[in-house]
Amino acid sequence: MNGPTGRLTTGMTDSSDQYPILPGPGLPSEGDPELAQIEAALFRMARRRHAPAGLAGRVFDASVGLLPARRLRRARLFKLEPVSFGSVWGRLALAASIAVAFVVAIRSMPQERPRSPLSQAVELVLLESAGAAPADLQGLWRFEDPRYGAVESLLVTRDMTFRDLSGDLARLAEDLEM
Amino acid sequence: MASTPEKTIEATLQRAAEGDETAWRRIVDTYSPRVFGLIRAQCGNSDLAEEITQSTFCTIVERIGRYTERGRFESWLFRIAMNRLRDEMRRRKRQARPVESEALVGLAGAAEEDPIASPASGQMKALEAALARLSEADRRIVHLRHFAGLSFARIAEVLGEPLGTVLARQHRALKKLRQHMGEEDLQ
Repeated sequence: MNGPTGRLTTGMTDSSDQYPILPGPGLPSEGDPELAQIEAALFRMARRRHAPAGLAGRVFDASVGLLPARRLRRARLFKLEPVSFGSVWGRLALAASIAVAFVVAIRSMPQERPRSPLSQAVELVLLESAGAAPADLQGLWRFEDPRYGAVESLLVTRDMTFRDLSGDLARLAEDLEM
Repeated sequence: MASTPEKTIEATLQRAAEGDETAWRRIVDTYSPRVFGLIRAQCGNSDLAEEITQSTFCTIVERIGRYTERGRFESWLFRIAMNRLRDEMRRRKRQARPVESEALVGLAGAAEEDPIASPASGQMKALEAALARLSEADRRIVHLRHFAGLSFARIAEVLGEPLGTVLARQHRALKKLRQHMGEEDLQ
């Protein structure tokens, strides 16, 4: 049988399934039978050392996930396409203009002070005692008016009821020209 | 007309580069035992040889899309495998801690016993011993030729040496093996 080394490998066992691609001819031992025997013995030694069972399967499993097409599929799955700089700047400009419009809208809205429970109580008393219309009481919530401080200090006195205060509040309302 | 092995390999590589898993399996089935055989012969450790084999094929598959086959696939594959082994041995040497000299005794014979080769004739054992006495460069050529099954032209490509140099070195290695085996017989 002719082995990978041509006629000089006489005596080799045939196990071509393990080495399906064999080297071509051309031997330094040509013409020297002793060297040819050593070569043959080396081939026999190599062929007796089989690869462990399942080696190719394990190598395949470890590497198949790295095949180029598989990498491409994964990239598509996770949408890893590159984004152009133009697209990024366009999106940033849109987000910035929306933010500016929002801030302008907030600032241009009329600011209304929250009505505290105290203010609502004053309103009720005044409505009862002075018969004032709710629209007339707007001035009371203008905290910048120094006269409001008098109403507030009067009402925060704990030992006074609204009934006790009604007279004073009526006078204050007159004073505020309501 | 039957296609040449080179043409077959080229077509198989092309299909694998396009993501054909069957083609990739064929490449692995064909070459992984040879890569493993070479690396195990070089390092004498089956676990490390399998690790290096897997690493080699992972590298190949990562680059296969950019690889253009010009009949050099085998040399490319085995060069990567040899480089992987060299890097691993360097890494292990760097990480190795100093050990007592007594612990090193017998380490040279620590290469795994081959259960199939063990009951072989005395000629095989003599050949093993003679191989161990070769210089690293000579032994490498013998391993590439007989354990990886490469042609001399491919060995020259893997080692980056002229074909004549490779042939001369192989011839010298065989003569040394004969000489060493003769010495073994005399002992």
